Amino acid sequence: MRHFLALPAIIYLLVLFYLPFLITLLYSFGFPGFTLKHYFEILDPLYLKVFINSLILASITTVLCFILAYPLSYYIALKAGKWKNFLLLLVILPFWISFLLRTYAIMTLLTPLGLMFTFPAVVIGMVYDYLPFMILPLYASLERVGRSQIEASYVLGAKPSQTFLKITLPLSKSGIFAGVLLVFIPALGEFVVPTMLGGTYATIGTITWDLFLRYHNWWKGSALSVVYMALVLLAITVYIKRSGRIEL
Amino acid sequence: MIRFLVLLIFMFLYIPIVYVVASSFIDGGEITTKWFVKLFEDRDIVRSFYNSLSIALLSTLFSVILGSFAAYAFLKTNKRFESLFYTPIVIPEITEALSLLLFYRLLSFPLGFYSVLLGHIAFNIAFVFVIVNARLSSQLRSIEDASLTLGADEVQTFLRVTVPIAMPGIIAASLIAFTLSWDNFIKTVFTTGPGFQTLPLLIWSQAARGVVSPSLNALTTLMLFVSLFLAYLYAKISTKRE
Amino acid sequence: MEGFAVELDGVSKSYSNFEAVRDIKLKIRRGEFFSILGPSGSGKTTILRLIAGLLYPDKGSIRLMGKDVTFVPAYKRNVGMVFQDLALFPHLNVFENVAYGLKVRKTPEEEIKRKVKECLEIVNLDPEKFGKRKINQLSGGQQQRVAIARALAIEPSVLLLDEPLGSLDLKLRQHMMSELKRIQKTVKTTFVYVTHDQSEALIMSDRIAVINQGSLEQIGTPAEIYENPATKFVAEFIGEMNFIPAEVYNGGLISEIGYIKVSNLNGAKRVLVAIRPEKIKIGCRNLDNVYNAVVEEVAYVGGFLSVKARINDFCLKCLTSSDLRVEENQKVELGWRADDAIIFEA
Repeated sequence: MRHFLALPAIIYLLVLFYLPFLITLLYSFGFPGFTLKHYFEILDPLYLKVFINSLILASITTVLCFILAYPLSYYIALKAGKWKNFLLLLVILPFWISFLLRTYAIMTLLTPLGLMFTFPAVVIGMVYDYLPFMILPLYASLERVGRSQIEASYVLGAKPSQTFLKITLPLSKSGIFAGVLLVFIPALGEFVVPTMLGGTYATIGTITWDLFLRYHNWWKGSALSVVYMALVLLAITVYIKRSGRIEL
Repeated sequence: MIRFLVLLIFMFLYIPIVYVVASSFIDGGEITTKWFVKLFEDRDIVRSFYNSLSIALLSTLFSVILGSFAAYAFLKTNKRFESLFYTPIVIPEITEALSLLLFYRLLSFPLGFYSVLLGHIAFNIAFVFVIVNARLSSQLRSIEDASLTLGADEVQTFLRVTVPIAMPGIIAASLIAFTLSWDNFIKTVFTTGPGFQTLPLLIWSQAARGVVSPSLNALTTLMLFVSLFLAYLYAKISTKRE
Repeated sequence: MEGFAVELDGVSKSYSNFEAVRDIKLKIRRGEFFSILGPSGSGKTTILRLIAGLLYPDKGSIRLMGKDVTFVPAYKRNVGMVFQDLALFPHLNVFENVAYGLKVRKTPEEEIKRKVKECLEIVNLDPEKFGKRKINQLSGGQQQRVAIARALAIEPSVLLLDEPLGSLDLKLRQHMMSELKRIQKTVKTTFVYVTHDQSEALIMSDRIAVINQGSLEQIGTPAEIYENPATKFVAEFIGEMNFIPAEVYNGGLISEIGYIKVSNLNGAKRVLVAIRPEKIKIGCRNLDNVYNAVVEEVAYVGGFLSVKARINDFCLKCLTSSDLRVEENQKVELGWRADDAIIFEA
């Protein structure tokens, strides 16, 4: 009866989202033929360097984001009192500004400083763009920890540092995990920042871009994309297993 | 101590933005709005603006209709199907983008306005679904039943009860969908054809080589204000419900 | 004899592989306060929704005021319903909520104003004060009343209430119970009230239908249900009951506590002797059945004593006047009249 109302949306997604993925999969195997050679091409040492570059960049970005985001989220969630909502608003605001614009903004700042086209520039850009993705899940989980549990810990005799290590940190684990996921995975496939700020720094994202839009190598590009997708799905599965649902 | 750190981080978040905005008002040593004026004189920019606007409006329209009905249909039912709508949100955009490109290529579908629009709609349906689904009152079925017992048939119930109650969620979803479409870059750049450009694409074409220019500053500032305005509307809608 | 307000004849309803209600037969009289009482999941809400027209039965027929409405949709049945979660319209104020049914029927403005005022007054809500308020500005009890007023405004033939008092605290619930009774007497509408709380049913109803796992166990007045439960389930569900397993022996029964004299044997070999705690007299000798017992627990329950007494190894719950002096470990004599016990097949 009313389930038919969902049908147009479901059909649309099947055709314009899931079907294209299937086609990508087919291309990765050499459509219209069938071969595994494109996957082997990806495992070439040349590409290995790119993978490692991406991993390094994504890891550094994630760690830096975490270092910056955790104190901020902690403060807003647990120490800000009546300023909480205002500060939260200030944090969310950059989120509404597009990725591209934020990257350009960093560019305008880095140019007069002469830092353009360096590895630090790329890292700064990445951290700047991805920071909100780390802040929100951390904030959400820290908020849920709640002041009363921390106060209970004090009453039971634990010092602030002990309370933090034994209570706050473990309870915010799910937020940490979510934040890491929300930053690391997309950061692996990022190409806007490396291209705009780093010139020739090669990542999975920039290579994918080149393969598709410059060399028109649909097959190799698809294979690379499928590998990336597999990583993403793996990470998501692990996340769901650990926490039940995807929280937004 | 931690307060100092927090202040630093906030500064880090906002200084680039403030810098861009400030730069767009400065020429040489003086304050001016000439960069903004130049924007309106630039044919490419104006055309890109209209392209961005039409894509955003149309994709919002279609995705909100399809997505809202889907969210309504799924109220309180089968949780398993919901992941169908969640996937487009968690998957990295670049994989979606290139998949669409391959899809269009296979069908020899011309790349341009429509190829971009169809891609935006797909992406937005998922977001609309999630937002409307989250905001739809769990009491809705019960409330509709009450309307039926009071004498209103299904159509009257839908118009008098369901739509008004769902409206705040739908408006919120529309704002998000519009913003996502308006700002979208990755999907657009992969699925566009020669001659069709949106504002983000235009910015990219000039900035991709690391070039910073005053007109880009001005354009960025304008787009920033559009985003902030949309954020403001969204906040108004979100708090209005209480 | 005048027609019935609601008649269910052989009504059954299943969901996928689960049978919600089976072969329901009941006749509700006009102007009656009729309760359907049963534990969670027993099917009572299903019956209500069938009467309302939100569900159609798989088998059987439903008549309202003599007319067959088995497959007539809810909006054509003119039944009022108060939902468990109240289901008030959040986007309309109090006045608009109550007026909703009338607006849908295209009632003239003046008539709507009059009716809404009348209904709000019946439920003791001042129309001037509350008319323009938003639903979320009202307390639980006030929302409750608006829900009732809204259902009454359409002048339904029957008012259905689905566990409306569940979320209220004790004092409020007691207050609302007498309010509901008063309202029902004022508007003279047939009330069909669904609940799992037996005290609500016993206090408010003219008649009660006890339902368990989709079938009706018994229909009767509160006194009938309490004094003469028809099945073991009813005996156990309503009030407190002692069950003593026994076997037929020598024109009577033999059990763990000894020989039991009964006034009626229904032919079964193994039985359960059911006796209410208040029917067991402590310290009396002049009864059909008397036993020596040891007091295990005594609790004061406001004017009464709840006494747990042990005969051999079997414990009985007794309820006796607090004038009696009873202590733990005291040896007492207790018993009951044969007529006061009910025999069920084991």
